[in-house]
Amino acid sequence: MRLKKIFLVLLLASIQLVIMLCPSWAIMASANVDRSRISLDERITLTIEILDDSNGRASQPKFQVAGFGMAFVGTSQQIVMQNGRVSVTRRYTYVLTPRITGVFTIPQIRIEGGGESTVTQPIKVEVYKSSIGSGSAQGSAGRNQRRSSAYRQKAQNQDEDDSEEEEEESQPAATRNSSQPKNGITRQTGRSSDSVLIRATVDKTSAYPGEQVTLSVTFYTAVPLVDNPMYTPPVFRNFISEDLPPVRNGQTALEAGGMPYGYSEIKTALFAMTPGNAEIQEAFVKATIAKEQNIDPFDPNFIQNFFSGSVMAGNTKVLQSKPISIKIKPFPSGAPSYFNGTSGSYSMRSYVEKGKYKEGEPLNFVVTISGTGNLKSITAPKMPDTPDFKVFDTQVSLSQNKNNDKLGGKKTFTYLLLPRSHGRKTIPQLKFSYFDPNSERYYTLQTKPVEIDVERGEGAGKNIYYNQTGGAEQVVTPTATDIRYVSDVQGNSFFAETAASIASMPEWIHLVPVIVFIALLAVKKFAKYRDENPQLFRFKGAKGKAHRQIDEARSMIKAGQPSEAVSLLYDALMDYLSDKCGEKVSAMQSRKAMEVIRSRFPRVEEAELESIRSLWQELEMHHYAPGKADMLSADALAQRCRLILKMLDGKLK
Amino acid sequence: MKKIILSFFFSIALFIPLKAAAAHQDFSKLNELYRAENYEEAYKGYAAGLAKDRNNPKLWYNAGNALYRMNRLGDAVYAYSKSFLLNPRDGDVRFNLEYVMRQTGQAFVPEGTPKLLYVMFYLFSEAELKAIVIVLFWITMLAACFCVMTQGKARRFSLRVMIIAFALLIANGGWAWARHYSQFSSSAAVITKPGGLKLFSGPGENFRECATAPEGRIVRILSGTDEKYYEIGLTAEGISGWALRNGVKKL
Repeated sequence: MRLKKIFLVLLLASIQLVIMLCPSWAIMASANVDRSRISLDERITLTIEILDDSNGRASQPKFQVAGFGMAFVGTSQQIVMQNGRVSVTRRYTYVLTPRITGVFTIPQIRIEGGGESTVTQPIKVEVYKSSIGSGSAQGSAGRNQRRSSAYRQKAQNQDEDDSEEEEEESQPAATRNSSQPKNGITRQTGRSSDSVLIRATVDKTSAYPGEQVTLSVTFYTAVPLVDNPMYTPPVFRNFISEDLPPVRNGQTALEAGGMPYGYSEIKTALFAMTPGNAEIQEAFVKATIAKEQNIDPFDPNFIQNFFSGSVMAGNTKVLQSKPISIKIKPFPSGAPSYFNGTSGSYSMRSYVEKGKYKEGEPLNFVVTISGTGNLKSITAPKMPDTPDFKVFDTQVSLSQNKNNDKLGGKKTFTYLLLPRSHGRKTIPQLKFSYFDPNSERYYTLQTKPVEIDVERGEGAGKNIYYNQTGGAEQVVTPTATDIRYVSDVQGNSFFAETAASIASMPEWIHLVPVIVFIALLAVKKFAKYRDENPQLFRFKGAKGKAHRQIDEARSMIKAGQPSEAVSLLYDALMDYLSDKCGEKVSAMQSRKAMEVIRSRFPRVEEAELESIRSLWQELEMHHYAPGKADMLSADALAQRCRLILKMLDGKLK
Repeated sequence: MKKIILSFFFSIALFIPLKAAAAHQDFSKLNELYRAENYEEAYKGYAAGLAKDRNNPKLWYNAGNALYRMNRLGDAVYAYSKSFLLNPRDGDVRFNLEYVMRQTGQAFVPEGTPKLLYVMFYLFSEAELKAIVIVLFWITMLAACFCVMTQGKARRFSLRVMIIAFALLIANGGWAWARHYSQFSSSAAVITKPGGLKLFSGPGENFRECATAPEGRIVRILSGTDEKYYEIGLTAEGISGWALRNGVKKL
């Protein structure tokens, strides 16, 4: 019976062990940005956090964000072993630089590894023109930070669901007992009498963008722990982080004569991105402290307790450090034109692999920038356009070291150049500016001009040469390029001068053809109207025409031609009456004519008609008997004619 | 009427050469100074000439050469650009402008554009294009007048001339409009401040510094309403900002 019981216990324990060790892979991923609304001159930090149970098999995500330039700035990872399972939290940090304004979406990013895959949520980002609305940007940043914290909290909760724990509240032992800052550096400490505590310290309280700030998070313990403590690094705002391994372990006493603590210290290099405030949020350590209990190996339930883990059970504590705020100072004024925000201390050198090349043979021009600072943020110095070389893509390699917890190393830029022609060529100087936070000064480094000889290549184009009599072939070899000489020709071409004169003519002159065109249109329309209404125009012009004829007749009288004048007066009267009546009056009897006048113009009175008839008969008599007209009677007829016309003009309308 | 129109054309034809004959001057002495590498004095002479005749492309060209020798790249780009605007068919001007633009990290012919097309686009200066538009406008209007006045064959001929001239007028107007918004136009400017120029997000140094434009860079003037600052745009980079007027020269 007892043997059967032991077998059962062993069987159950084996099943539990198999379940514990059985890999159940899963990937969780989230993407966060430090702000969702930025101006064109700002940058966004995109952090992709991957919680990977597949033993770190998830690969680095590959993606593009429309409207942004993207630079990968670093990765950090945290490995946790718990209950026999290994989970890796990897954080990939990218800096996105907007190119144009608008609303953009960071797309879903697919993470794959160990046969599993997941995608992140898309994130909308607004890029605006000026720096207006930064307050709202801060708000968005806050939202994103909160989202990030929520994720971390969720991750913690998943880890803690089945263990007995005694979680410290928002004021843990470490926080409640924080000591005064030592030399202005220590930000967080714990009470030395605590059995476990966590401290987060930084080496400086203010920094320039890109200047290294070293964060040390130290976990102290004075009691044995049941399992490895689980460390969750802090979230950084306005910082790019770089791990500084290894983890330092040792023993120390926090106070003179105090109890000894074992400690584990993790250092991280931080580089601020923009001036303003930067923040290191809480770091967490979850530790399980062994319970003090009597273990009796002769207890009949000892084996069962051992495999069920109750022997090893303890109290779980979650410790957290206090957030640290760092002031990020703006760069001083007077930045050189080649400065693009790099901080540190660097040197630069350049070389080509050999001194002689052939035409068409590519050459590698290598520029190395070495020193201390965040070399990842250094971009390739711009190669000035040169007529001597065609410049192809630049290859970049980085060799980083972390000596004495200072990030440094060298970054090598290899420019692939192709000589355009043969001769002695000069690779132009490249310039690189940086800011040294120690001396608080800007420095500009530049490469030395490199001269190389480019020989004629095989199969190159034909050379131009002078074939001198009996001499050797004289090859024309361009050796350098320069601007062309000054011009001795004075002034401009006739065409250009003429064009300039026309272009500078006063603008009102160009209204002339428009006015002429409009006037011509009006004249043409009037002529058409006149042609279509001849009777109307004769009616309107009858008075003027008659007066002109009378004037002409009087001139004739003065000239001693009374007979011709009377004939003209007769014509004037006939024409006037014909134009007014619209009928040829001269072809009618005077009586008939009077009837026509009466019928057309009822306002004309009988006395007036009689006057007309009388004048008509008299003129008719003189017209058909010209010898009887003398100057006096002709003049009297002209006057009568004028008076009658004046009288009729008011009535014949 | 025909006589009136013909006499009007004659009066214009007489007016043009009289004005064109005006601004020729002798700068061979200045070129001698340049030859003797006395670039500063040569430049002063060219600048004095330009003060009297700002539309002389040869003076701008020679001034650009002197400025280049004095290592004033931004001013040299400006002088060559002015010369190019006035006489874009001059091969020397084009060569030197292309040369200094390369030295300031710019391409004379935008990448991906056939060079022949670019040359054709800048075949005429802005003044020449304007003059062509004016002449075509006059021809269109006068042909319209003839069309109104005449009958039969003459009228049909006038109508054809009017339609062709009007079509050319529209095409040239479009060309002139496109040129006005191109890289080299009267709405462009050159950064002439040695070492480059800071761009701010507003018209004042109290605004945030948002970019640095290098010396010699050709930019667009987006706004010139402020007394001290221009709003300028760097088309290739999609960046705009405000820069002090004394560091920028408008073409």
